[in-house]
Amino acid sequence: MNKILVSRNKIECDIDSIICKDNVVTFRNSGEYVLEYTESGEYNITFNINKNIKIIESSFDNDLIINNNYIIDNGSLNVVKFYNNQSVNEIINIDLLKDGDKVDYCFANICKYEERYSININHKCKKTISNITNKSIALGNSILKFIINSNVYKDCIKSVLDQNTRIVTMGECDASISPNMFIDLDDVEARHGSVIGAFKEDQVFYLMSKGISYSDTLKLLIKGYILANMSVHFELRKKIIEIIDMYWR
Amino acid sequence: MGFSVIIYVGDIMLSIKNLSVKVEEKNVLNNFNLDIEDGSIHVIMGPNGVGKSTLSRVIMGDNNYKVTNGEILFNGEDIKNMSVDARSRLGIFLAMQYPLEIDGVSNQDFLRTAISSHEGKRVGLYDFIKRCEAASEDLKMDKNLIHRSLNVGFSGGEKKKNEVLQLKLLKPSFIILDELDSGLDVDSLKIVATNIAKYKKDNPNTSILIITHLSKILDYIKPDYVHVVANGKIIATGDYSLSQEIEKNGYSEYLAKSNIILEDKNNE
Repeated sequence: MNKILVSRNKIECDIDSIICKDNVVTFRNSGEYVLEYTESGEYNITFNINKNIKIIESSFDNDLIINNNYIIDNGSLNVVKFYNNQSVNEIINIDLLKDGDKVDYCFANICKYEERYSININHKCKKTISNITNKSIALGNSILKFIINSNVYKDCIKSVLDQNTRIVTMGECDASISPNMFIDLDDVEARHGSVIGAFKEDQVFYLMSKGISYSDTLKLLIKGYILANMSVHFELRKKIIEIIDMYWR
Repeated sequence: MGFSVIIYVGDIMLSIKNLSVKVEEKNVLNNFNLDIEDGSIHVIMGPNGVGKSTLSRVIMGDNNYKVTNGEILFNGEDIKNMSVDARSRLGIFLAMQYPLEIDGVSNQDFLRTAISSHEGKRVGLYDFIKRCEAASEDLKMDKNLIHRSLNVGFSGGEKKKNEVLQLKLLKPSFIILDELDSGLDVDSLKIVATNIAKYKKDNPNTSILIITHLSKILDYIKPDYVHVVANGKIIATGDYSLSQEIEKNGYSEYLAKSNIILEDKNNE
């Protein structure tokens, strides 16, 4: 596993395929990389992507302030990310600089207190593709905000952009999603979906009618929701399941 | 044709007494009475919108249906205030008319959790796979369905087979089949119905309540009693021949006898 450990003072990676210098990460080889924020703090990292890169990111029990940039310049990026933190204020900027560049961004989190996310995707060339998926569980009285801005600049024809965000509320939380698409031409394909609400009553009834208790029903639904299409390594999958089991025992 | 006097001789498994039910402030069942004895097969027939599916939901404990009066006794125990899952673990199984699709929840996880809940201990993976494979084979189900999200992308027939797969694995003592035959082609209906008939043969004390519009399923699962429901109550009871009579002539005669004029309802 190509592991990158990020702490307040440094970005640690002991693999040759990555160059880390002055908060800039450059990948020499295509492949899958695992990144973990190991402690609370303020982070400002730029990832230069000119290969086919998958980054699996995670953070647990931290207070994070993040302002990261993913610069895709003749490559493709697949980000799969899971957070279970104390608080988060995160700004993500994704630039698609060359024709046909692509980003698949799949984020999931369990929000306990207050988390704010701003994701900006900039389509700066033709036939660029962005698929942004956010799946959240908002607990109790938590505050959870998403602002997603997709920008397609002039002449970036045949670009495809998709935003899909769902927040499942598990209490009296303050949740909002602002999906924005700023498109400066006609010839693009754009989709977005935003949903906030609890699990459907009929789904809960269906599972319980087969003898599954309410808490186990929630566990099944949450695991299914969080882990669907989250292609993560075994270790992280196990940890996510442990966290869900801890909340809904 | 006509009304029959039914004398129950066995123990009563499910007893519904003077049950009245409201859905969104509308009365759907009115002083409904029905006794189902151990090992018997009852059929509920009736036009759309008369409360047939409501009955199945109320027995299972759906909160959207408000019981305003009456009792539901299962093996002598009042289950009216019991949770949905507890009713299932008591042995009540509802095979739904429209099995729900739940994206992300794998059929395997769901089934294993359900079996474990019924048995009170986590069922081992090997044991689970063995049981599943045997039951899937009986139902001529694609083995890959077990690994997919629950009912997502399943055909109508596959969804109904999946309900019967659950039934075979959970081993209930009281089965409600809510329009199991709807959306099934003749071959799938035969497979599904013969599996239920086989289950009944292997578990003779199991009782079944079949809610249906058509008598085709009854060619495979022979009922002891057939009831016609309208205006939220039973207006006629007979044997298998009553279902054939209805298939041939419809409900109008029975409705007229009870002075019932139905509104045109396509959905229950």
